[in-house]
Amino acid sequence: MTTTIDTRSLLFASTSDSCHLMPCKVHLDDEANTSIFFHPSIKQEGQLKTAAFRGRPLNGKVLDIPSGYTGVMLTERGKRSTEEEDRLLLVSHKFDHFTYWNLDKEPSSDDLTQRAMQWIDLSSVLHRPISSEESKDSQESVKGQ
Amino acid sequence: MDQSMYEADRQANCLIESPVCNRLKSEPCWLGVDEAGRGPVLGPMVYGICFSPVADKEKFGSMGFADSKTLTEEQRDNIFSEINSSLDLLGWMVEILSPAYISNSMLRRDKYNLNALSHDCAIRLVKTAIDRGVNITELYVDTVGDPVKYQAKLKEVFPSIDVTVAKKADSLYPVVSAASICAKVARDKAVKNWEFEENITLDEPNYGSGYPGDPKTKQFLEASFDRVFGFPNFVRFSWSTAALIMEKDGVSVEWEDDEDDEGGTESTPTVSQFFKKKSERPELKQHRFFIQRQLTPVTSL
Repeated sequence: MTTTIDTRSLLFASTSDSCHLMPCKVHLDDEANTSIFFHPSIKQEGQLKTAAFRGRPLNGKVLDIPSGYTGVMLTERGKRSTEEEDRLLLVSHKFDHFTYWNLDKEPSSDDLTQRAMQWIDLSSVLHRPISSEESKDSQESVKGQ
Repeated sequence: MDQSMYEADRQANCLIESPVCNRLKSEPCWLGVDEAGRGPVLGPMVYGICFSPVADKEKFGSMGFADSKTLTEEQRDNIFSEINSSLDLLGWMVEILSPAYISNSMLRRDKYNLNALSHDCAIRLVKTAIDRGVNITELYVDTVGDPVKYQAKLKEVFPSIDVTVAKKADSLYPVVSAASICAKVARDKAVKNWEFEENITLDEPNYGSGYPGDPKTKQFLEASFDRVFGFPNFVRFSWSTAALIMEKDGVSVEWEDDEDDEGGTESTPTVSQFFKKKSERPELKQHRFFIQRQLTPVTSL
């Protein structure tokens, strides 16, 4: 089974201004009445937001997608009849920021999601091609120890 | 009672108060505390206080206050307007605790129960009266929970005030009856004038009493139910009636602080497991940088 993401669909994807990362798992993969039930509960004070979901208090903050990256929402056309069948995913929406929500706790740089984003910077450093100059320097410094 | 401030933001709590005349600041006063709308699954709970000079207890008693529950809505409205034309004799304050505040408090990480929330609101109101300069010497409170413990708590907060906490204080002390009328009038008005942020319009705006057992209230809960979000924020999500409907008809939702029902599966390893031969090739382990951030490589979707 192979999974293919049709990257051409990115061109036609609409931009979403309202993407929320919830601190709970909602066992549903379908549309929901967010604009009616969720958006009115959102209050903003400075950078921090509060809201409620099912009566529980949430604290949120808008996080930007790091530059050079795009947030995408993938949707699948049709349903597979067997597990082995190939999957084709299309980009239905893209976003450059999202609201990150914690359950009753102000978002901080200690939160998993914010820490996971550190990998993006780290990976670009790790995967950056090293110039011959740099590699010579680092070898010498190892020798010196 | 002008509730425009509450109507501007029905998610927030709101304090509404009468003017405080000079007599209430210079003369010793008795103050009554009572609540309205504690049981219903719908709408705000309202805490009310009323205060008047001790010297005028008799005059105050003759104003015909009675426990708000024994009066009709019309009678309560009449008495409330009488209260407002006697502001040289008394003063009042109410705090509207929004259903969103009640739900959020009771469903936060460290649960804040309704009794503690009620006690804190009563204390806040008495403190506000003191801040306004009211000279309180006697405090009468309709109990929430154990009256002995509640009385001890209040005495600790207000050591210089004579505190009486009693069951049915609203029928024993006219100053508590008056407080209960203020609270009930505020609660009724807030419920009657409720406008849904969720754009719900009801054919017949009748929620019934708001008590879980009322068929009209049940009907409203069913009609306004959303499988993902539950209910409009007019509903107290922390009430078992609401929680049960969400559990039965709603999409299931898992929270990080949910209590684990299946804790037993990964219990302590048996002794023999320690003597098992380790597999030849130890599994490649992720660096803890990734483990700590719960990052895993994705090979399929």
